[in-house]
Amino acid sequence: MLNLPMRETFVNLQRKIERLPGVLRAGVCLHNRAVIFADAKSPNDLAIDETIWRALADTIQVASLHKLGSPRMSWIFEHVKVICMISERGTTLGVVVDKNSGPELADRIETSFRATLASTQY
Amino acid sequence: MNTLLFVDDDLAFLESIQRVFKSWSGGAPIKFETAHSVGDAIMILQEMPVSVVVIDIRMPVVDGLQFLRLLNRKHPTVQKAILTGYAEEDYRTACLAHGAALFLEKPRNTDEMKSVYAALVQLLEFPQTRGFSGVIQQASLADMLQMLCTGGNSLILQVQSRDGMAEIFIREGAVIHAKAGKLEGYDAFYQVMTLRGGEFITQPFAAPPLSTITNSWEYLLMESARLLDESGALDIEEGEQAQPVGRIPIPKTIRINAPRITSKMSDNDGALPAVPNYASSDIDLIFKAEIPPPIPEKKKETVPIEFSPIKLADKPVIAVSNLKLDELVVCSQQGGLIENRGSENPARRVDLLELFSIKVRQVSARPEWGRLEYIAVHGLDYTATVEFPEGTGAFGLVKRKNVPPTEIRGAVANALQSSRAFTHA
Repeated sequence: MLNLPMRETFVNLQRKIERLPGVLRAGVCLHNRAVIFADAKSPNDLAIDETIWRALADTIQVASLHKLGSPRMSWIFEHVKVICMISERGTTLGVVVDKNSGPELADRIETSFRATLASTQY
Repeated sequence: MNTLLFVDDDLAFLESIQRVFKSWSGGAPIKFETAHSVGDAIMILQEMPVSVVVIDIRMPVVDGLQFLRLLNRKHPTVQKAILTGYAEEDYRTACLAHGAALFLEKPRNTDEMKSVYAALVQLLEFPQTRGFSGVIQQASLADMLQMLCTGGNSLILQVQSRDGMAEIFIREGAVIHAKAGKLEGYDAFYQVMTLRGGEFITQPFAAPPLSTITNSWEYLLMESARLLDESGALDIEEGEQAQPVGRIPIPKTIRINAPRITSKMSDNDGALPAVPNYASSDIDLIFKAEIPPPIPEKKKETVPIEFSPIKLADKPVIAVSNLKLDELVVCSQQGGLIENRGSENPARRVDLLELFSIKVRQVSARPEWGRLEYIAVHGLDYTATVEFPEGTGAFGLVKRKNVPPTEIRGAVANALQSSRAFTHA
């Protein structure tokens, strides 16, 4: 079960990321598969998003284990791009961004993510 | 209307908790009843339907543990929670083993009281469900594990064979630990999953001393299948007796006992204290399964073009590229290897593509995002793409970082266009 400081840490990270131009939504899936979003949604929407973020986490985790190093993954859809990255402890950040955003946005998101991880025990 | 019944010999505490919880519940349809002895509680239970009984452990005459046992016999459908000032591990284990869904410490301040309130309300929102009984023919351990994980259950899957017992710990649909004899973690899990027979039963979840497994169950099952395949256990001549992959001999019948399927608690609410999702030890599901006689498995064929080929002409968005790929693996929808260039272990790449293809459906649940075009993987020293054109899966990799994924896709298209797969198009 999630403790409050951890939840707050990742909520703050998401709020910071969601302020970046081109970012539409962010979410974190912890190593225990608990999913954290900064904003409240309807239960139905939340259930859909939790499934999505868990699937993102599963995929990047498996890719890591297939000797693909510690990857950053981008899911390119017709209208959006979903950037996904994972920590050494299995915490996964998934961020929906504008499809036309460049790699510099992903770099900025990753910098924030790594900095948060480095400053905490998570 | 849900009724929460608090049973405690401390009258002041009962009055306080009833008053505070009532004020917090606002207009919610929750009624808070109190009983200062087990006798009073039994009378209330006879008079009105009660959803959750919240019990103190240390009470005179009949203590909380004995009351739990009584409730299990007399009111098996009522949810039970413990609220005690003596939150010792021995008590905790005993109470959970006797059907308590929650084991909570008595609150000492308002914040703790709020946590207790939230946990109890959560319990009301996810009542126990009764299970079904039935027989499933030809079920496998993998089928059972998949069903339990998909259902988001928390339990322990105990597998019994003539050589001993193994346990797989599942928490909210995720495999977190396994042990088999002296083995623990992945080794234990794969040993269990590569068994060809035995009996298994599920037990209520209890946290293991260690969480040794972090992979998704999909990955674990795929790895198990791969290990089983590599071990040669499936390459059995007709009429030949199958040999066990692990140390445990193979009985011909599997008996599967499964417990009631419990609703899982929301796991994204950081405000709640750590409480296990516990199910009663009552067994509601019984499965029996006959293991079919071993069938020799056909080796995967290369270049079996029995599917719709990729029609690159329909994909003008992919630019033709002169980039040299370090790896290209293409497989069919059924997992057959169509093309391998440069991969030392194409079977693992096919496994990866199969997992991705499952996850694509889940990740694509937002129609407003549109159709998935491809996935790009950016590693420290490589760039790769994954895509699923026309019922196939294609994995392309270049051992350099920051290669534009569109170039890799172009190179994949180039390579495939000149391959045998495309002569069929």
